[in-house]
Amino acid sequence: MEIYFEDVEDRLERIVNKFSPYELTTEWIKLGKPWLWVIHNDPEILLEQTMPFSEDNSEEESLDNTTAIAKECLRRGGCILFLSGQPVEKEKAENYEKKYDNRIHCLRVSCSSGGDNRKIENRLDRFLQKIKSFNGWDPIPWEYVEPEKWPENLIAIYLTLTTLEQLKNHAVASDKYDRVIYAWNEMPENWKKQIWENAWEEYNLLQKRRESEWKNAGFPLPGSHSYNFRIEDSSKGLELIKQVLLRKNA
Amino acid sequence: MHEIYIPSENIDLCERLEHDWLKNYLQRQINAEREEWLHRKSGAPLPIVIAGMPLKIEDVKMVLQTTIISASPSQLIDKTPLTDFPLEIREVICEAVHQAYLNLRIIQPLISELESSLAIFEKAATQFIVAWQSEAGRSRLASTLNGLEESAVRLRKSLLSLPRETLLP
Repeated sequence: MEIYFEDVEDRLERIVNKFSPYELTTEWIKLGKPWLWVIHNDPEILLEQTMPFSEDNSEEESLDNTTAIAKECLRRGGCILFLSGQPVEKEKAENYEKKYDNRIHCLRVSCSSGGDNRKIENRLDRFLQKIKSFNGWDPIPWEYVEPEKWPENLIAIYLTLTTLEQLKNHAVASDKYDRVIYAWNEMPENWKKQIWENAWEEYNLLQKRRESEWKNAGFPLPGSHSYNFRIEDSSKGLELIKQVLLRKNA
Repeated sequence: MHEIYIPSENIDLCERLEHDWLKNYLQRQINAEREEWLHRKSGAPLPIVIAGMPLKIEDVKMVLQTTIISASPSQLIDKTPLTDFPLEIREVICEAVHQAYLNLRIIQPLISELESSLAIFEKAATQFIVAWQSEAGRSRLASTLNGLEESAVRLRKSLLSLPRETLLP
């Protein structure tokens, strides 16, 4: 599938250009091939108008009419990724996507460069990499362009270890330190087992199965006899998770 | 898993102000209407985008008040299984991770910069309004409009630099 963009910010245009350095032209549209259109717009504005695409129009006239081109894109088995600085509300986005049989997708996160991160660029790059070999009407794995679910169990362990590290160096807080350890250890076995096992799975997704590091940090593997915190290892454990989280969070 | 993305709580308000208001509304209006504004007729009402500014300034103040908390990892506790802990323990964890996050000293300078940008923007907005309403001459109005435009750019930059994600200590 060819890939084109319309009105996206320079930094995102650079990503799209890696896959398709050419402009979308009327001549190309007339060839009848499907394409993915990455467009900075709102589906309500772009798709809810009525103008059909006309091959007889001059190039200038036709390309001015993005609504008509968008409809032509969908008619030929292509698909459209909508970006916006202020994403369409989730429910509204889902309705549009359903209406167009998931041939369109509204990015759920803002495409702005706020917070100075490059994650959206990396995600778009991965998504386009995946989709470039697709044919018209192939189902589109839109989830590749959205942020993944964050590892809530690993984060839960991380927050607990951060707390213990904060408290253990303060004599006045030693009571709080003991209470946190006690609270964890008093939770139902199944609860602790579930968290550690899920955290281990999340860690694997981030780190590709480094069992020895996990064990060295004092963390229990699935099937362990105890899922309590090993107090003496809390610093090592915190360092291990921190390394992974901060690297993936960069 | 390629990355970890944990959005901060006030990301929507921040984006609305930076993107919808400052970039797409105020800055565009200033660019499009500059000449018309500078040649306004005597007694002309304030442009709508300017008249509505006090409400937007209140929104920025809201961002100022909430950003420290909304980017704090303490906000994550109840989104993880730790929510099952007794309240008293959740409070201990909340306080400790929030302190660890403050110790990073990342958020404080960003908040200070937003505070300064907002103060400059408010002052510039007042000067423009006073010039408009006092029927000041074209060059005086132009200079206050330039001041407003510059301060809007700075304010936008400050909003852009705020973290969109939770900061992990």
